[in-house]
Amino acid sequence: MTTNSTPWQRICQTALIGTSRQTVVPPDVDEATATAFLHLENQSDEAKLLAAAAILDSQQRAGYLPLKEEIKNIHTAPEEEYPYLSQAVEHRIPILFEKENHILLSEWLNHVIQAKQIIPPRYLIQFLDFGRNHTDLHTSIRHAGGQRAQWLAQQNSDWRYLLQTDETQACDHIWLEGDRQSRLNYLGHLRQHDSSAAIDLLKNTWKREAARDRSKFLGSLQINLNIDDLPFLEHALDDRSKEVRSTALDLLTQLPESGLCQRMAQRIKAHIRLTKTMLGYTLEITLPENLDDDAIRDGLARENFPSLNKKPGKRAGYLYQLIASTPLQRWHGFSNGNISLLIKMAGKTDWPDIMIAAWALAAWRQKNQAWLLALLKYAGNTAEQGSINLTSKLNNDEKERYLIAQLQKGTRANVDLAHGILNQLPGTWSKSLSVTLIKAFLLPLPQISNKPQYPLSEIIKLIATRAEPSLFPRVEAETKNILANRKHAWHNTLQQFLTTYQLRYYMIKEINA
Amino acid sequence: MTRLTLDQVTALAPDPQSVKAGQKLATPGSWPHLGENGADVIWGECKGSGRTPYQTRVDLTGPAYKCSCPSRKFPCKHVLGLLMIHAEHTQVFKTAAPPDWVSEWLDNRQKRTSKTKQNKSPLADPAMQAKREEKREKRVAQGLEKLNLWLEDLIRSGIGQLQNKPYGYWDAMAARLVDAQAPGVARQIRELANVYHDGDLWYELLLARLARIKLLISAYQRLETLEEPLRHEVRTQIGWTTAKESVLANPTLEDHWQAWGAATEVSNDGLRTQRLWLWGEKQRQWALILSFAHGTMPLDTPIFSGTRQQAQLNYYPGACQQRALIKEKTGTATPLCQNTVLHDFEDNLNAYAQALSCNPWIAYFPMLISNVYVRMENGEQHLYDHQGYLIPIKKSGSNPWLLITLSGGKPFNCFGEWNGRYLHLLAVLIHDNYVPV
Repeated sequence: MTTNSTPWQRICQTALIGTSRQTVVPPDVDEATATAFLHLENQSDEAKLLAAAAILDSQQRAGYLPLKEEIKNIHTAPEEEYPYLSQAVEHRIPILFEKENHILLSEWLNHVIQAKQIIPPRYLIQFLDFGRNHTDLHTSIRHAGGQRAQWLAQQNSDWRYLLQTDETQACDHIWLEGDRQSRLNYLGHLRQHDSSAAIDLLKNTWKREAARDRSKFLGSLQINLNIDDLPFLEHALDDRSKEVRSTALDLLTQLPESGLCQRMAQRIKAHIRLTKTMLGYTLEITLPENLDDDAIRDGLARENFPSLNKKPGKRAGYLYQLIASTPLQRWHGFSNGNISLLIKMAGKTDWPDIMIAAWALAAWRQKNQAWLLALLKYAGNTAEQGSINLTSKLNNDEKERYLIAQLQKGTRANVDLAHGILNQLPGTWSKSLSVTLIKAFLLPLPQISNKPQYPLSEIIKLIATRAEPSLFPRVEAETKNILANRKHAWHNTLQQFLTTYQLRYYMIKEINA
Repeated sequence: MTRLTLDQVTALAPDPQSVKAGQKLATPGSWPHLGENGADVIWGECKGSGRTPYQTRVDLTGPAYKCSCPSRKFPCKHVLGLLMIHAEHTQVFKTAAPPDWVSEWLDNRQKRTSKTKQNKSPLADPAMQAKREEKREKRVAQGLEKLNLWLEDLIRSGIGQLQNKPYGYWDAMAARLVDAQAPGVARQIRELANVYHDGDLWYELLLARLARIKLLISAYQRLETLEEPLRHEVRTQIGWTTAKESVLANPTLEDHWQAWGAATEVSNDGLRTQRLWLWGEKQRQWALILSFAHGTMPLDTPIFSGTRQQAQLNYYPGACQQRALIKEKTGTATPLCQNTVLHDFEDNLNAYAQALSCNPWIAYFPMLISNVYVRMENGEQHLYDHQGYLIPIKKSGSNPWLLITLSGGKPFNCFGEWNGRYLHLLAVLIHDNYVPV
């Protein structure tokens, strides 16, 4: 027992040990309290202690003294520029945070941003916390969160990701001190926002990096690859590491303007010529023989043939690499720009498979839309060429147009094709694609008696989350019959489909109401 | 027409899962037939998993509800869904004469209410009652005598040995007090089992509680010497109930009552107690509305938190009149807005001291504090009033960033229950937005 403890603390100590072991000493109290204690004289020790405790406890509670602080620099959030969401919209938020609806959050946020509205404060925490593990939503949350979200992010380090300015500063030290993965993430991130800054960053430390890191870092230049990267990539062709050289080749062959591709165009002159015979124009092919050092530097001896299923012979392999790295534009003079004619001519050579496969790789690398479409047509609309997928390099408009055309032909085999392409299309689909998909896959469901099967079941899910929402009332009306039949194999799938699609329909309608 | 807000609908739900389930049903598409009779009754048929649709009907004035679904939750998700649609899209309800399944229900309800009114029990024989009462007083006196010895024993052997005593230890004593017809004291004994949750200073808290019980025993022993309000208070603390008639005999007060919040506690035997706090604008004092419910039964919600309601009310007799009964609602509810009562923390502490002086057993004291600021320090929120007085608050389950997020650093009103050491926050009012915490 310390002497400077309060009467209350002393009485507590005695109670803790028990009056059988410690006698009750009347606590040293002020006069008024002492008078109250006088009434206790004739009672037992225990009664005295309890009564004294009751008096002191009441005193303490009645005399509670709060701590006082000086109020200074009250830091308040800036005023908002945009109005908050309406009540009807904000009450949709808890449903969107149900696990099965997470997939809809990004679309919902985009509509909120388009409508120039912001999330009311009472829901911000949920969004800010969710964003920590969902990098794809950072930009949307930053915009839909308004000033308040920014203000909060300055105070809570968990929400730092919302602060754009902070990101670059904090991350420069990641580049200098971080582990490989975080450096790689940072480089990719920077590349996305400022591609030349990323090259400069890489150049600064290039000589110090280990071979494995150099190749990985170089690989991130795939993001926003452009002709300003050419000098650095050409330089990397002379790197000590084979891995780095190989990565540089992969990147350079995607840019027809590159020195590498231009050199290929020069080389090919000696090996493929257009000659006129009695039967018309044909391609005359001479396989490359011995490669000089320059040709080897440019990758002619590489042994990867992604668009072939079988490894070719040595010299045929040289030819493959040569064609696959040559700008496709180079061939147009042979046929007045008619690609199908060229493909036909290639078919008549001694090396038809090699040529088509090499062109497929070239079209894939150079993202040449006309060539990709022509090759798809030639291959009977089989997207796969070896291990490369031709449709994956179509741009989004072309992908959509191509898919619509294929679906309108109406063959069953399109399920895989559609699934493949739909997974590559971002965001909400156009109305025409949505209508085509609904007609092609959703409305015929009543005729299918088999159990739901992948990938059709997956396509139905995709329609629910990505199809143009305004079509919902029509779809609902047209699927009534199948819903009425509870025993139908697709009943549950369809029910789920409608729940999700309906939710999207209403959530977007509400925002724009 | 009465219209519940979404927050009020949420407050009706028996559990959070029901809210979610209700939200899923809250799209007009799930309800082909929605109707209202123009007099606060709404209904709808909801497509469910069964062959026939569920018939859901709600009388908004109660609110009272019934649904034909087999759910045991009350209200069920269909009722909640229907109310949510009504809150959001009133226009989709078509005014019509109620279908049979609605009007039958309304008729039955009407019959039942008139029956209960008629069924008022005739007064029991006064002589018998007095005899019973005498007997009870004797048993209570004996029970408290035993309790007094037990308390003194505890102090003699030291309360240090009581640390982590199981619930059964306290419950055994409480059961004896129930037998002695002193259920109020029994409840206070059971509550002692919870003091260990309050950290290192549990024994200080325990001693304070024991001392208050001792004070109650002493007060009962000299009940005749006390003045009437305090005498009544002591009897209430011990467990005597007050007949509704005698409450209604007190003066009726008509006022606009601001419902600032409700705290719900669940006892170990599953009894839920709800304390709803009303501030009377003219009366300038608080009224406490208690409701009780067992298990999953819904608690009566006469006035929704966050609203202002004109009503007639009677206080219970007692010292520092707090508990009250709503006699009749005389107007429609409107949302609570920025308050005209301006009280800082000091004013509230003074009111608390005053209240303690008439009733030392006050366990929860309502505090409405205006112009409160929140500041974050190491991820913890600190509340202080405009004079800079720190308001100690109990760490609650809600996110520590909630208040700073809602207020944006600007001053707001907060409401909670003060227990002598900290404020148990129940709600905040920020820019006319009432948010339960």
